[in-house]
Amino acid sequence: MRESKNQLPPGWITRLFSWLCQPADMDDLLGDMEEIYRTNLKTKSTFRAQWLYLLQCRALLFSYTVKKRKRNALNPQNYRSTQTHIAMYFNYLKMVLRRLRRQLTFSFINIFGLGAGLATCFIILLFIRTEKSFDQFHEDADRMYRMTKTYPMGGQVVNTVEMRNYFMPVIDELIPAIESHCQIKNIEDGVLIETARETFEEGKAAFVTQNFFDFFSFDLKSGSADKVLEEPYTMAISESMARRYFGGDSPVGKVMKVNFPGDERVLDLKVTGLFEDMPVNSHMHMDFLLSMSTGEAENKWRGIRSFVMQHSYFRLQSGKDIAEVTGRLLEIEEEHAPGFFKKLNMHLGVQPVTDIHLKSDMQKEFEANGSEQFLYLLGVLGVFILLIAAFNYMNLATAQALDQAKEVGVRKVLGSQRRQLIARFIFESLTMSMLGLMLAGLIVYLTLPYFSELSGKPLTFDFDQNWIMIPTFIGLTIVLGLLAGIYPALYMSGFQVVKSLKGGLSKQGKTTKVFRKTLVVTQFVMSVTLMLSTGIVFKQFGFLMNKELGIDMEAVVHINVKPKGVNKHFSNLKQALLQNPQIAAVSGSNIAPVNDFGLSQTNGLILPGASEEISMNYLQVDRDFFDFYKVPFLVGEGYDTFEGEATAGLIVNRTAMEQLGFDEQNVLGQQVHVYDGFDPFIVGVTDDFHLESLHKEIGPVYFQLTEKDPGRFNVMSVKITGDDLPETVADIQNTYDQFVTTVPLELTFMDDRIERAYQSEKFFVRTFGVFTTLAIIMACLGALGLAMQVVVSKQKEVGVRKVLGASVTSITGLLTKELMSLVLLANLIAWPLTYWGMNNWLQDFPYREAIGPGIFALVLAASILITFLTVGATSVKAALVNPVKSLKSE
Amino acid sequence: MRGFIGEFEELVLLTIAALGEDSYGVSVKEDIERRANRTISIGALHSTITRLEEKGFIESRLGGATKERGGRKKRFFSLTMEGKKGLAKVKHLRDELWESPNAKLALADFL
Repeated sequence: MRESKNQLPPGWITRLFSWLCQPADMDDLLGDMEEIYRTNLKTKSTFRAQWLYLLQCRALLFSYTVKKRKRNALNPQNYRSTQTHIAMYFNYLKMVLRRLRRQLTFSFINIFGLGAGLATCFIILLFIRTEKSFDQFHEDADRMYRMTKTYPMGGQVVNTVEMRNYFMPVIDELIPAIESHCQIKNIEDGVLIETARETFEEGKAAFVTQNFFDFFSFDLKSGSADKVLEEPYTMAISESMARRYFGGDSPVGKVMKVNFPGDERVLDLKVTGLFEDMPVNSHMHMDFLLSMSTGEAENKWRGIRSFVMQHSYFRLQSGKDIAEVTGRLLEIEEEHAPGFFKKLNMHLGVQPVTDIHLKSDMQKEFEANGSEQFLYLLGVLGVFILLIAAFNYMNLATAQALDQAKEVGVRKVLGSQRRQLIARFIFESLTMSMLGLMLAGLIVYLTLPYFSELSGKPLTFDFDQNWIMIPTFIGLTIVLGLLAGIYPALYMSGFQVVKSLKGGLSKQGKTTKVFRKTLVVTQFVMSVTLMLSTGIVFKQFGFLMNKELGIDMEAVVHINVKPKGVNKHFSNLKQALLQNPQIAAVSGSNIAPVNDFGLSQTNGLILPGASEEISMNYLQVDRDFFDFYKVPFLVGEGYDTFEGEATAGLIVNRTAMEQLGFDEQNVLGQQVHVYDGFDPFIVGVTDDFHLESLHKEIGPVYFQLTEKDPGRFNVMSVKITGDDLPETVADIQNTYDQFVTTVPLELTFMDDRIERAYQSEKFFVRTFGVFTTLAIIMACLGALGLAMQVVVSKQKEVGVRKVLGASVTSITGLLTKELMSLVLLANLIAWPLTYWGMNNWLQDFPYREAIGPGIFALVLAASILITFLTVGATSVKAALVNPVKSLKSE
Repeated sequence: MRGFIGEFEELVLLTIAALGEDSYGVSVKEDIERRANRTISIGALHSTITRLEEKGFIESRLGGATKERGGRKKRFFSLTMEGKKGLAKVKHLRDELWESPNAKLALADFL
């Protein structure tokens, strides 16, 4: 009778079981199980029976029976090899140290590679941990949130963290899940501190509500948290400011003269509190905290409209879900300001305070935040470098295996079990990785200050916060040592005794060769990817720095004329500067290109008869502005020839013209209504040009002529013609000092402004540059080690070829050919990967340089050249050896 | 005496003795499952059998191929002298305890 297939248990389970139990005989056990399976089939479903069969197999697999039978099959003498022999490990250690000494190059490559890899990972992880720790120090940090506001403007979506100060108290009252709230009015332009002798500009100041120190966990050194910011005309200052202005004396109770840029009045503020400098990992770093009541009492200092735009924070009641707040926000928008939110299409949102540093990129942030994407990229980089180090080890260890074949043979003859040999090689790789860890500690200790400088923020190893990294890294080192050692160990412990002793192992197996080639290619793929990515980032950075902005900014310096004390002298200063033959032109405006903080002032334009206003950014400029920057015009011309009332004419850019619905033919002479103001005619349209950094697309802008004196200009642009820049700058200083005595000159160069706008890209380029170089060096060291090994194994072949008349060139070619083809292959694999990844990254930039073939060609050439340089010297040296030497023995 | 006999070991030994000629993996498993009303895994059973064999209480021999097992061989078990002695000793120990007057008194209610 032919059995139906169902009668048999699943074949794959049986085969797997037998395979796993090799080399022991399991026939009787399998028989037992098959019998049970058949019995089960009579009462249960086939599936169930199969499932039970699998379970039984699994149980049997880990049973004592199978273990014992396997052991017996392996050692017929029933020798127990699980005993530990301490003496043996000392012997292993001795062998490892001997090899370290004899193979200095390889030991160096391995230990340096592992050390550098671990050190890089450590620094990267430390950086990531620091970035992730932002604002975690606040008590109940997980319950603290900041309000955000979103609305469309000028074709773009605006995300900002400033909102009118009456929202927050209303929301707090209406939503029971909110425990408390705190509001901050950032003084963006900073404050001027007047001392008996001089005036200092201090950039980090804010008005804060009374509960600031209750709400945030900043350390108040003197003063009580609830009282310190209660009274109007009081403030708290940071310890570093206290040192600057009061030396060793306590500042509490002292009065400081504080002025705001753009204001005449000097306020006498009493210092009521002293706080420890805000920690590095805080999203704000204030030095002067003025009581909110001061701002309220003085709200005329710059107009109510700006003062009410504040940062709003709240704390959730413990145990409540943030959804209770977000859910209610929409209803509140509807109920309490039905027209308001709908009309502007505005929405309120919340973000956890701990997310601010890495995830928030809004208008009106206190400081530039970090980038989460950058952290991920760094993490990938760290893994790459560690892998390259591990691959180097695996590769070199396998390549050197022939040297150790004799040792393996002798050990086997003397009765070593395979598992003991495996232990011996794993022991070796663990020793190497531990030495690498020690080196890594030294490298981290020496280079950490350098990385602090690179990242622009202090990066220190704070034991209390980061002690967990030490056991983590010891664990990582062990894992790395095991990973790197397992393949060489399995490979070498498998040598056959006779062959290894006779010297018959001159050739390595095909599998090993393929394995090693895979390792090399993977390494090169990682290095090429890094090279390409860094190249592309570098190109984009250069592109941002050097792109034509559409206007002339050659030899332009900017003077800050925002403070009232400077502003009132604007006209006189301008006239005086123009007297200088080295200065070609001077112009005033409220914002000057390149403005790295974004255009802040917006207003609406309304067409006659239209109900909707079109909101756009605007600039206030003087008559010389367009001429000064040589702004190209589509139609009409600049204000220098414009005759008539300042409010009668208006110049817009091309985008604004298009959004207003005009074209070049009909735009001139059109009348528009400026929201809250006057009704000018359009007298000119400029071509689009960049006022902001290239991170932002050009939006609609109108330029309004301002003739009032003193005007509301913040920046004076000065164009220098002469070659002697230092002297001209000194002249400007002198002229400035004649008029202004209270405010120090603040002069910025265009280059600095542009560079400041692209600071994060610069950091990115520099960090990646350093790590990529390291990765390339490590991959090259690996290639070098491999080449040296190839040379040794082909010594005789080279000798024979030379005798037969081969040239040095052809032999060098022979020796390098293989690695070169691997480099080519790696390039081919890395290209599409990198192209895809980097193209994604570039999409974030509205203005970018397309990835051209040039960079690929360059990286290909560079990778071949670098490999050739590393490998070439060794190969040439081998090719030059006198064949007598290499053929003599044997 | 080469070792101590655990409860499950005792059960297995007794079952092997009871099954006589026909005691091999599956029959021992089924017999114990039927009598003691408990499910035992083949892995646990074989582990115990291997240990008993190590201790010298049982010995095994391979039988011929059988059709109902897909042509695979059976391994038959039988008690050694050592095993029989061990079992007897355990039984003796238990009997002694059962016969002790106090145990009789204390257990009377349950019997």
